[in-house]
Amino acid sequence: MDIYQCDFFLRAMAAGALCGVMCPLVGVFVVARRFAFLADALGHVSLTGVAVGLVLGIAPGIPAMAVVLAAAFAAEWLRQKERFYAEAFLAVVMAGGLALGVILISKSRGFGADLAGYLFGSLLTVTVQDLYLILGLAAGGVLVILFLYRSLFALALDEEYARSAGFPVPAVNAAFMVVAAAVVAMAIRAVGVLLAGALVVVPVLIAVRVNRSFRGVTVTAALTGAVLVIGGLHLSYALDLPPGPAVVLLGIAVLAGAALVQQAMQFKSDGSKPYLGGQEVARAGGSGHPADQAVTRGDLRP
Amino acid sequence: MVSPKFLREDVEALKFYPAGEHSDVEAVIKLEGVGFAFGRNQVLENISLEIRRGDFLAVLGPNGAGKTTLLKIILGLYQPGTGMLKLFGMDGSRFRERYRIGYVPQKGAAFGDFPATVWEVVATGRTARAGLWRRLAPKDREKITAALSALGLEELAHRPVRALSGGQRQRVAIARALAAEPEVLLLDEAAEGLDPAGEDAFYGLLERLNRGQGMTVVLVTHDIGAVSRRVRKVVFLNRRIVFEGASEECLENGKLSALYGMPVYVPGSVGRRRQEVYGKGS
Repeated sequence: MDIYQCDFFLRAMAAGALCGVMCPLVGVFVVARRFAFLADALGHVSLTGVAVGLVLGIAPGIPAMAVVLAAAFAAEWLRQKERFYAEAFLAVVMAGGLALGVILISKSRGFGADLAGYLFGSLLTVTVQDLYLILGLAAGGVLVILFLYRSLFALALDEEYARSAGFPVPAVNAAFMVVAAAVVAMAIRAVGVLLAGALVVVPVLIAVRVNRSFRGVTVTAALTGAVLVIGGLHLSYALDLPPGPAVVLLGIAVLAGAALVQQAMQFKSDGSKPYLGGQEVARAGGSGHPADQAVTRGDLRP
Repeated sequence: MVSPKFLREDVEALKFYPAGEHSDVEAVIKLEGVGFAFGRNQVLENISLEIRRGDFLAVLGPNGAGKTTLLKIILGLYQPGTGMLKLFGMDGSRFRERYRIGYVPQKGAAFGDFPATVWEVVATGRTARAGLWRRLAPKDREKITAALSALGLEELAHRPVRALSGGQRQRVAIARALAAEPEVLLLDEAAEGLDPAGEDAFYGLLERLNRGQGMTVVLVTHDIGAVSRRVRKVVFLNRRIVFEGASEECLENGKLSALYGMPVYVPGSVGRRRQEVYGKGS
């Protein structure tokens, strides 16, 4: 049977591609701000929302988004107040959310099959309504990110400078958190609460290895995310694997491959590090700036 | 001798507000009785200072004297605990045109390791002025190019910042501030990380911006040598303002040594003046 004639597979590919694009779009700014753990934490915390939805008999996506949004604002507050321990506190929030979700589910019976889908994703069961919802969230998310792109970039690069230059940092952060919550809710469908963080972060880590510009990383990460989800779906079909974990493992394999290729290329070019240090400039004699050239030649050495 | 490239005429392409254009506001920055504390730790006390358009001012002081805190209050990053701040004649808390005050932070070179090109970084400075929600116009792009050019960074424009040396990153931070065409430039230990030629060129650039274009420059520095040669006015801070006056006055009669409480050697001072700077204890 041709898999492309199956509606469920086509819907899964469409929903997966949208999730694959959106997760890294948020991930780029999260990773650049050195807060990648946030994505993982929000994914885990969303289990509480999923549990509330299952217990109340409503679509879990909505309570999951609400819980993730609250957790995202709490995480941002922690980041501002507890600069040095923010990640440690985030681990506490993550564990708390996960524990609460498990307790809620354990007190309610009969959700076993559903729960597995939420824990590890259930792309193959995406309905037409789900697809429309994901499409709407993705369109809204892309618009907000495009609108805020310059401000988000300035914040990711140097938040103190952005504040001093008059960027509306609290408003931009709040809007970003709303998008992040929506994206994590989408990722639950694709790869599940336990693996959502990976879909946010892994495509960004791949893109970072092959780009010099922030814009390049953003575009590459979004495309990579889509390709990984679609590739993972095919892998899942071909090898009879669960789709969510297949997507994540494919991503990690590509990341490892990219790292190996990069290492090999660096080894080939005299062991220098083209993107990750100052050697690239030094090798090229800097900017051509006389001072740079002098430094490279060692003229200014005492 | 290396001829520093960023002393080039290209800086003229950035048209800053010439002295007198806003002559109705003489004091661009005014602090009256400003105090600030981190919890119980009083960092600044009763600071009254008026910085006028066209000033070239250095803020000196020992570590922990409150120099960076003072800059951050002016930048709106901290709110003063007591007293009043006025920027361009307006209450500091209501001042919205933040791009009129350029800032080169103490760790301007710390852009992190995430990929971003020099152009992208410098463009964030222009974005603050051009508007956060709209695309950069050709005129804005010209200003970014001019800022890159003024710092000798044109050839590095499409390189990732993470591949640059510390000195080059510092120049990127300065270009980012200049791209907004600020009327006031605040620099916090901004020459740190520059090699001697680069440092010389950096101070030369500040002089050109100040004297040639009327830009108000406020420099927080430990580089007393630069103060002695370049700036016109010095504020010595140690939680309070303990000295305010002409730079020559600060260097006379061992005053600087007295302010630091130890002999202070000022590079570039010679003969009798140098001995004075060493102070009585030397």
